[in-house]
Amino acid sequence: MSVYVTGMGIISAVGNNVAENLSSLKERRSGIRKTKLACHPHEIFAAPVNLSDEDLRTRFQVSNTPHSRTSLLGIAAVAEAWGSNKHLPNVRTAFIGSTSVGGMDKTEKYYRQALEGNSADFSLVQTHDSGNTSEKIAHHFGIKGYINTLSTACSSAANALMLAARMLEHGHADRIVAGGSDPLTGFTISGFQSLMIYDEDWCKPFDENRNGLNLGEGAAYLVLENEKSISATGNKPLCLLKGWSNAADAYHQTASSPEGKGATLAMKNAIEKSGVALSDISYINAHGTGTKNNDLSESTALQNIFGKNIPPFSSTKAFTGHTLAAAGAIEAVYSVLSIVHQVLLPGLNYKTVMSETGLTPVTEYKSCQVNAVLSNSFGFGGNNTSLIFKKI
Amino acid sequence: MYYIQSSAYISHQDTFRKKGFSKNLSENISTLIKPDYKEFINPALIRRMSEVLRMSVACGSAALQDAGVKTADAIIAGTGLGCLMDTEKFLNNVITIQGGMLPPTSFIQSTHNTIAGQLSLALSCHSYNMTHTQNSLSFEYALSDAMLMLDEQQGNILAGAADEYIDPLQPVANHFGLNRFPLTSGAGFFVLSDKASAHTNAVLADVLAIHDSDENICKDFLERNHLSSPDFILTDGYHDDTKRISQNFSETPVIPYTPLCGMYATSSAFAMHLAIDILQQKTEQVSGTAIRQHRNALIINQLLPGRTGLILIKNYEA
Repeated sequence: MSVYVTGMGIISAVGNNVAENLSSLKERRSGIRKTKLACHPHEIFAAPVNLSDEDLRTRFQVSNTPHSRTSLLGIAAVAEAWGSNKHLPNVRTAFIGSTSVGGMDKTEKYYRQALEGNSADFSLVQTHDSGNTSEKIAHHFGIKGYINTLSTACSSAANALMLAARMLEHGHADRIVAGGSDPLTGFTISGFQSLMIYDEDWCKPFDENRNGLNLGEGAAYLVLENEKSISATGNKPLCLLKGWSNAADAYHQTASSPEGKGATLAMKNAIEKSGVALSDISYINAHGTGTKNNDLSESTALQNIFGKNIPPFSSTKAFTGHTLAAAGAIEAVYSVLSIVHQVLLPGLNYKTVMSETGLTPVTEYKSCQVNAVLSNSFGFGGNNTSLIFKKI
Repeated sequence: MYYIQSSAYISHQDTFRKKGFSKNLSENISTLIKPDYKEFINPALIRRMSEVLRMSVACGSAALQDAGVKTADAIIAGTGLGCLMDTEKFLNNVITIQGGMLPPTSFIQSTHNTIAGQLSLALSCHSYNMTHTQNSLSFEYALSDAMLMLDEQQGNILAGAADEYIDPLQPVANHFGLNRFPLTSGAGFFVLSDKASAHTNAVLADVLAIHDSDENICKDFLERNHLSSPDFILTDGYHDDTKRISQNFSETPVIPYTPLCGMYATSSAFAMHLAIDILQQKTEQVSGTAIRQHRNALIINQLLPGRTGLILIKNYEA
């Protein structure tokens, strides 16, 4: 049974919808800027979404019940992806969300109040659990039944798409809305700073002088359907989700193995599953966080798989920042765009080739025959996921 | 068929590697009953691990040993609230040590997937590694994933669930009226396989996780498994609905499990561990409830309103 992508929606620092994101990629306009956020005491380079919680509530007519920013961003993305889809009695629709920190944006406020000994506002902590993030999004669109959340740090949304594909393939659902969202929080910013991998300048994926990541926020969701669902909904397929795999690096709780074992396994198995020839992979949307460790490990893994014939690759995280759990879905949307518009997407801030690997990423938005795209998402704890999207 | 090859669980009852514990359940559930973690975890690592990680790594390792397998073909965990101890520790540092350099360990260990990730490290396991977090249904969704995986491939899957108590949960539970029973911790892992072996404990017949609490869900679930009623029911028993469930199955013994293990998001995994022991040991009295038949057990989890988890376990006799 084939898995079709029939809808997608996105909100990120480079646009509140798919069209705006595409324009930013085309014009090489980054969403990362030096900014003072309410959740963090210092100015940092980060990629915030340009809409406040209140803006999002108003724009998407969200009920006046407690919602984390994580849910609000998710609702924005699903609104675009879901579009004019309707609930149909014979189309079993499921929801698979993902987030790394759930309602941490609100929990931080609650916890601060509690520490200060003030009477804390408990409605702030009501949205803490990650499952709540998905329930709020799914309920907004009337999706019931199977509502699940995956949380595997920075590979979360890629895993949500993978689980959706597996369930569709085995006939456990007909149509699944899958993706992820994460907000900027003091917790995650301080966290990556404590690991000394938060760049104090613009991140520089795959550059010799890269010095860490910049965090961003956002959400993306895709609508995946089987044939039965498409014949009922009449939705037009954009492309196929053809291969997927998750593998554990089992090397270190945060760092990737120098030989890129988990990443190599994930790519190898996803490509095998897809049945796509290596030569048909036209573009790779890399994980490419801009940390010393990830970009070297990922480059080595690319060499393990493709040898000397590595397809054009780039990391779009220099546009969106690293959006953690959302990244896998945001980059899935970009991968689909690469197929639909037959283009290669650029990275930014690349100047010097990495001495260990000698690999040069794509730096310009340019037309190209794109048959299939490989998208990588690698997370904390060595959680590596690769997805293969293919032209119909 | 999905075979349960082993079951290792740490809780506020004496559950860890204690066959027949279902005959000796205690009314006092004030403390977590821990094994000697040094038997399962490198002592140098124990100090840095939170309770949820210690429990999970010990249970995951024990479950593999007891199933007679060296490694897992997938590790799948469910957790409602994740690694709370480290999350709270780092959050506290972020708020109180503004601007200074913070120690990263608690941040590293705060993500939900640290549980399954630490297991992959401890077992040098490079296979599929997944973490489901859907509050009270997290364990059921993890089990569904494991079953889907056994439909896709052969092998031994380490599936389980873990949640830990921290003090800041108490005022939140008090505020939302979720304090009828003590807030507790618990974790456990099960080895599931597509083939029976000399180690097989029981059969995992079916699992359902659904955002619905319609009364027919149970009936439909049993029907699709060709059963009119199970031999006994384990239910969360939190919301006084034991009576309502009994009305649907008037002849069926019902054991509420929240009073036995306390309150946490993945307590249905405790119920599964208990069900396996009752079936295997043919326990006739479980905390005052008489069990006459030992062919199958249904776990009904409606801990949070509007959500239903169902697990059907069958006895296995080679």
